Amino acid sequence: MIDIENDPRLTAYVLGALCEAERLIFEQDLANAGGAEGAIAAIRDCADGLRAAFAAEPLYGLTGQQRAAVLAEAGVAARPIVLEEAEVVHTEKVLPWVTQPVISEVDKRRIAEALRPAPWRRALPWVASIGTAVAALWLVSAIVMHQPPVDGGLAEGGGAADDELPAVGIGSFLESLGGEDELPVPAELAAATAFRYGEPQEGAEPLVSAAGQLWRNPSFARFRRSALPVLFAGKSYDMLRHLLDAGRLPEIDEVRVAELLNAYEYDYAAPADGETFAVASEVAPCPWDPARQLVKIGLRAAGEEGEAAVAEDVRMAVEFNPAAVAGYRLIGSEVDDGGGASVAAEGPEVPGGHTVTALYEVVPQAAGGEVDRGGDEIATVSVEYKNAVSGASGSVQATVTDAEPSSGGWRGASDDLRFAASVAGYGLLLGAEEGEPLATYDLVRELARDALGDDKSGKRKEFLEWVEKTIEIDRQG
Amino acid sequence: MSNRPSAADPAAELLRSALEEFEVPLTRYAVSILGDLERARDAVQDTFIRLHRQDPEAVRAKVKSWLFTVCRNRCLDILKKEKRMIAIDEQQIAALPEERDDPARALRRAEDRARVDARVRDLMQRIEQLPPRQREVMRLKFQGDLSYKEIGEALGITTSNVGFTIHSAMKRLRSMMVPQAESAAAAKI
Repeated sequence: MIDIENDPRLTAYVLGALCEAERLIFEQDLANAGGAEGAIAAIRDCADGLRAAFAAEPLYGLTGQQRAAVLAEAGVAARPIVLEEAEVVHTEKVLPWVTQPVISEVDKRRIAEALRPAPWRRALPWVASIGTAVAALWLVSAIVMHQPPVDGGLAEGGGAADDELPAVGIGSFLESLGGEDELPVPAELAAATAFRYGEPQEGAEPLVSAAGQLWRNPSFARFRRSALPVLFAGKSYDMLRHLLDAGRLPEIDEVRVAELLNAYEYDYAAPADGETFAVASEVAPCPWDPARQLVKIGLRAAGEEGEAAVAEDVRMAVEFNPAAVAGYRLIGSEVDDGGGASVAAEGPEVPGGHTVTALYEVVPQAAGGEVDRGGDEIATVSVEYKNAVSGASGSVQATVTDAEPSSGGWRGASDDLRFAASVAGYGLLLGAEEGEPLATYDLVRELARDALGDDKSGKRKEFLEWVEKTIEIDRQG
Repeated sequence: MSNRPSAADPAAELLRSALEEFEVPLTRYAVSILGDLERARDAVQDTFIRLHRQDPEAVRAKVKSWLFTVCRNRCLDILKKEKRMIAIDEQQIAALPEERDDPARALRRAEDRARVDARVRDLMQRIEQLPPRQREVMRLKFQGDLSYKEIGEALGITTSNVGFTIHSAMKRLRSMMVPQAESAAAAKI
């Protein structure tokens, strides 16, 4: 005799959760057991009641702004979703690319009163929370990119001009951090490992000038390492699409080069089994100045995209080898700091399959002449993280080596590097950020044209269309 | 020339339909884990943005369990980040909304109950008395309308475990109901 009422299949049967074969077997058992009609009716009744009870909960949903941001991510124009209880009305366009549906005042009050306020949250869009986590790292790059454009003649002259300019920049930067003893690189990261390339030089200049521009000097202690953000808000890409559709070019701060760079996919090999991260790097002659090199650094997390939160407190830094590198700088400037970043901020969490791309311009030590230092170690990329499950700390190191110069110059570089260079060149050319334009539109076009690769998402092809459109808008003035 | 994806863009279409269908159930689920709407919304927004980064063909067939799984993980991440938890203890996490209850929310719940009929109100109270894991499974089944298999995927437990949990929870709810029904019947007499 089967104890039918204690058999989980009884509930599964009523809820329609048994597969065909299971159902047939169970119906046989039911017939043999007999007398389960009352239990079946009770379960059905209870299930109906449960659906009604859960359906009576408030119709919680996203704010109009959040919903619009989600849709903007997909390039879909927002349209109001009408919740039964919440009257949705249109207001003025708050964000330039969406119409903003809002919940009526009555409803807002009702929801606000009912729910416990969370005082630690700032009234900022979600991107700020990511922005905050990475902002500390970005502050490092901010310093160089925020330098006023240097007059070539003055800078090349050396002496007083060179001494003064960096002093202004660093002084105000350190002031903003609250003291001269603060390190721009997160302190834990800087102290975590000894320098690979020997102790920094005492009395080294923070910045060096070359080709009329200022570069971070890796001999200077604070610039030996460059901290990289590992998460990016995706809004620059959406914003640019919106602006170009509207026949406009971005204003200052509307589009971030680093975000744009990271809006595209690059072909990075997955980490080996058991590894959490894989680092990829490539060095090539710089398309806009053969005396410089372009260093592309890529990071890929283990797992497939969309898999849970693989590592947390992730920090990434690049230590440059002063024997090989006279100066360097990160292309792109800082992201929104969300109004409250500090250098001690924890690194962000990184989901499965996540990738990060950074581009550095590097002035080799042999600057001025032919670049011919094949085999030299230019830099070391280090990634530190905590395992998301066990909390155990881990780290990955990878060296960046200058390959034998290819005969074709930058044309011999990979599709990914040429495409990234095109995006970076384009971003700076837009004048959306402070920073000297590096490339011409012709060069941007040439770089990207043969660098589409697989382009599964079609975004690279779309980028080429954007470039053409930009040229057109620019021409019309 | 327009760069805006047309309706034929599968990733955009999947996102839009998922948003229309699952925004409310996901937000309710996130509120049940996190205990407040604002953080729940952040988790849900993040979930949808992650969805758009998926290959639509790969995720389409399992979009429901994918969304609930990712949303749940986002919620747990938020809890972890707040350092309210040292180790992830499922029971504790599921119990958090109650621990953090406050008068405003209790009042709101009472108001909600006042709007619905007595039978549903009574059931709502009884659902809250279930153990956290049972409560979460019941929500996924009867609010999210997830299949046993989808619930198992979202919670990382076996399908038969889901079946057992639902069966036990319903038995428990019914047993709580019986004495009241009997007393009501007795009162009528």
